[in-house]
Amino acid sequence: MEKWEKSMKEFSNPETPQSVEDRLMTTFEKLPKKRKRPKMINGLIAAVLGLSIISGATFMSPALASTLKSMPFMDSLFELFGDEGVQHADKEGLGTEIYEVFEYDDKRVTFTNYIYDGNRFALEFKLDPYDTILPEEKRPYNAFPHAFYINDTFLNVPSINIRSVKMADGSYTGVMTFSPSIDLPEEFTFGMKDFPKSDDWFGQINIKHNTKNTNIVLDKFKKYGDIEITYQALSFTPLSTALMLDFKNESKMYNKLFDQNKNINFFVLDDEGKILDLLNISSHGPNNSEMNFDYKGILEPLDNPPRSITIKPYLTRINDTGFEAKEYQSNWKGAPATIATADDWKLEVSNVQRNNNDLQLTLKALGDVPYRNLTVKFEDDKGKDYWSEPIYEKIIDNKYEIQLVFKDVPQDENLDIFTKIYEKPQFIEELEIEIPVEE
Amino acid sequence: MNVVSEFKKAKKGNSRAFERLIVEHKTLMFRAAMSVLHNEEDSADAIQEAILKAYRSLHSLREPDLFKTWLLRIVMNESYQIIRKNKKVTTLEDWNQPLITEQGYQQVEVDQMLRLLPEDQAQLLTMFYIEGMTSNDLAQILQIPENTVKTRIKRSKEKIRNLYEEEEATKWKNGKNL
Repeated sequence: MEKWEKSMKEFSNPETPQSVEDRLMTTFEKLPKKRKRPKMINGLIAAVLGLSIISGATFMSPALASTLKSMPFMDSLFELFGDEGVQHADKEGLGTEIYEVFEYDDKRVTFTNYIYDGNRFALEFKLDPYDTILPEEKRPYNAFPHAFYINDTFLNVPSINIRSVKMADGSYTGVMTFSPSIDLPEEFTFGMKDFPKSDDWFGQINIKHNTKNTNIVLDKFKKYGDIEITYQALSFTPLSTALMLDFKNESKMYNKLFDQNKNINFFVLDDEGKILDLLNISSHGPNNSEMNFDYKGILEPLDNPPRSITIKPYLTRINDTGFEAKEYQSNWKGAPATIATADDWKLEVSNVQRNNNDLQLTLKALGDVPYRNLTVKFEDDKGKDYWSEPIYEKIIDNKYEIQLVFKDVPQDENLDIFTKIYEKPQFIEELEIEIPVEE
Repeated sequence: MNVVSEFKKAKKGNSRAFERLIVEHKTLMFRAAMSVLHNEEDSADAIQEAILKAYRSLHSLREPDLFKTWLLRIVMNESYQIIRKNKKVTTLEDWNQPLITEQGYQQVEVDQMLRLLPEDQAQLLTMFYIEGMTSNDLAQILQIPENTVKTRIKRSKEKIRNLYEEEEATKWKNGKNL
């Protein structure tokens, strides 16, 4: 047996832990002592299973998936499957049509369009049906090999996002977005291999920068204790707003924060206090013995560069299940109301507007309310959830305001409003900067 | 253990016999769940649900010889169900994790090697190396022809062998023996 096979054997055969043994015992206690023999329910079980398999095959709303499947052709996958940056660029008519086919193992992927803004790139793809043991939702990711290259540089952190739908013929159609942390050249060859250092390319695509950018060199240094950040550059494009910074995190202070399960992150605000949506953040490094890391934050694009940008670094605490949060629930009366309160703050719905079944809310924070870190949903009597799309989210003079729109909320339903408020971020004012944007 | 005899008793509603069957297969169940979930707590959840479902639908299984693969198929289905519930599909975060350090492959262990394979190949290979699992078992669990299983295992083995050889070469080049 080869050495790697011994390792595989060890990996595949972990000992059964005591927790599983204990669970067996508690499960046995749940078994009915005398099992009744079910009659005539096999057909029902089969029908239910069949239904769940069909509904599990989609990754977007069943209505949209159904519409897509019935469409004879599609104008723009970027519009349907892109994130807000990709959709924004698509609306401006950007994109370069291509026809590149990658074939490997028993898989075949055709790429038909790309947008590249110097910071990240998006590709329209169609994946032919292929045979796999994996469930439906894993198939698009599984189809792609794990070794991606920019020219001859292997992408340690490709930062891929894939949105797709299964079509009636079993193929998958969608958009994949790459936001690698490394600096990207104006033009490059994007390639895939089976694994790093393999000699064989599955396919290569020549990609050229095809957006108009406004790039701003910042070169601003900030220090707090022994945390050091150099804000390097900003880039405004139709596909994204990109923030590049260098972060020295081999510091006692940072390690102490890390020990307390705190993570550093950044809000980026425009000159009207609007918080830009973060689409992706990636990093690479260390670059030298001082443990400097390069970070690239990909944020939503803006129609026009703002007069200034404010960057607010903050810390948040993470527990085993994610960010610390509290939940609030109340019956929805359809009018402005306070929906969450604590000792030193409250969150109000200050304005309600109905447009047929669309419900638009403006929420304002009074007191020391956590910025941004909240989610709101409605739930009806039958347990159906209604989620929102943000219209805007602002911090003006340290006051937080958000406007949300909920689609297809019936007017006569008895609804509860749920609010989940995460722990307040701890802002580090010493690292905050406001930068005038001059083209 | 006489699986056939215990199976017949269990099928008649003898829960003790059913429990003995489960205990006999508990290690295989755990390892199959781990090959999908890579987490002990989630695997315990999958096993629990699989036991309850297996007990409820034992009447539908006619052949005692198929009990092992039938049970493991339920475990696999429950494992995928947990992934769906937890939304532990391959996410952006998963793909953002550096697979390999810039220094090379020195830190790469078998689980990291497997992450370089397509997930279905990694999973198949992990299951293939479970003690007591045969390619015929895998064919029945995954409901694909045995020849297909063999072909895919061969392909996955070749890939992971290449990765290991690369790793060894890199260690040699860097003069390190980890």
